[in-house]
Amino acid sequence: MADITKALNLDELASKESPIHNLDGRIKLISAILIIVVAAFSNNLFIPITLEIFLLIVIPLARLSYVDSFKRIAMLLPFGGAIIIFQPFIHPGNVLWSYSWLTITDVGLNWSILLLVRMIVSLTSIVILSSTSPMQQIVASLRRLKMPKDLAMILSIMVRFLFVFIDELAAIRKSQKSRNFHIHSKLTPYKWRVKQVGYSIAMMFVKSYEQGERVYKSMISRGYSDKSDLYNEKKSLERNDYIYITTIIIIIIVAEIILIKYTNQIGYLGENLSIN
Amino acid sequence: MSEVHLSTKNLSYTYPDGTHALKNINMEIYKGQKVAIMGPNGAGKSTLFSHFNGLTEPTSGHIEIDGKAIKYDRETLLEVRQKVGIVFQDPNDQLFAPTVKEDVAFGPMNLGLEYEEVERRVDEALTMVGMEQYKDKTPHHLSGGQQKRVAIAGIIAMRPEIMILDEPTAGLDPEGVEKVLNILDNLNNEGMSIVISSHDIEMVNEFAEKIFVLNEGEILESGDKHEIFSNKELLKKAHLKAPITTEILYNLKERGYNVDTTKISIDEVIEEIIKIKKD
Repeated sequence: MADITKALNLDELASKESPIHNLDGRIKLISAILIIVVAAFSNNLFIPITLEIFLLIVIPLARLSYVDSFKRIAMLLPFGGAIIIFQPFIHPGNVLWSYSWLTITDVGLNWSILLLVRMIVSLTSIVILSSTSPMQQIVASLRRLKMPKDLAMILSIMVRFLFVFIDELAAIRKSQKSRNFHIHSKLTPYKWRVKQVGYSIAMMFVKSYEQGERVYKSMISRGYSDKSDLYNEKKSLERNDYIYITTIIIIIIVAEIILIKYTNQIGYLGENLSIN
Repeated sequence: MSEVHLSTKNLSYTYPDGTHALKNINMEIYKGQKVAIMGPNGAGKSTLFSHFNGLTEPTSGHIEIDGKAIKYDRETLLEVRQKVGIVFQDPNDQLFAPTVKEDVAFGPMNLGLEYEEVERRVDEALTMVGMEQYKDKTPHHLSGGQQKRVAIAGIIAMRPEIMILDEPTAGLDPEGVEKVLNILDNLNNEGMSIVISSHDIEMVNEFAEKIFVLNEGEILESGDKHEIFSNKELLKKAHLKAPITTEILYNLKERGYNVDTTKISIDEVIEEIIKIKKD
């Protein structure tokens, strides 16, 4: 259950107040994407590191704790980390270290460092976005950014009912617990316990199917059709929104200029580490 | 009170599995009337309600709104659903938008109204149910009573002429019930016809002008609350209970006192008891 409760906490965290939380959802979304794209396309360490420093400044501005943010990043890291970990061993180049058939090359090592840095920047950006914007806000922003309305509707309903189902599941589990059910219990046969878990999952499927039917009926009752438009609250951007996005763009431009003009002075950070 | 607003003519509905959910239902609801449909669980109340705005098509018979039979084409249905608003029993079925405001806006948007008009209606509807300060909240985080009021606001915003509410007070605390009833009374004062289903005798007693008793898909009886609640045989047949005041009067009658068992309100019953004492 830990993971599910964490999802709930995240939304709570995302609903707090701070200069970053109060930014327009669209701005936060675009900024996050912009940073990820720039980081993912840079062939050197200088640009991603500059962006990471900027993001590290944003974290306290958003009243987030470094420890929690890094924990979240660490939780997500293994997904890409698994790929990065092989890189030093599989690319041809000058051998730095070898042990029987295992070799580490400079090209491979550089590449994996670059990948790691790109990934950390992207994850920091995502973690900041998700801990400063409730899911609803992100969906609403996507809609304001002209996401196709059928897709927007699906997303929006999904986010809304995610929490209903978390509650449903929690209720089922609570009622099982109150009748002394425990998955690691030694008092009941293993097969029987697995079966009970299976029943709970099946129940969730049935419930979601029925909930879907009922919601659709209620939507139809209120005149919904494929031609219907969704209500989007009109919101204009405020000064802080412009300041935030402009700061990011300026940082990127300045960093690029420094990189081009002073490639030699910044040494390793400015080197092209990409293998492509 | 003269014009028939909504009526059913020999309405029957059979589920695909062969269950006869509704059998030959004839009912008339007048303009501006407050109607309650009572019956035990599984009597067919919800099925009947889903016929009122064309969600379900009857197996035989038909529904009339303002004397015109409902047709099941797209345009007519849109019109019918604007005229007849249904508030479902579980607010979770109805509140699917991420925020209260967007949810209330859902109906008016489907009517193809201008943005400004939608916004005006949302504000108006939320003010009517006393939920205006919650408009940016997520429906999921609201209490049961608040969710119910938002669900009602979602229908008010469509400005229906008839509002149908399936078990509007089920699961609410007394204050929540009171608030919902107040909203319904206010709407009724503005001329809206209101139909509710319930098995809460005391609530229906307080609210309804006309009562239909539904059991196993059939209308057993209809009439005002005096007629219905004093008919103990009928209530027993429909697995319902008489209001406590009726029980008291019957009990007195059984003991040989001369009381009028058609009285229901607490005041009237006290009058009856005082009358006995004087005799």
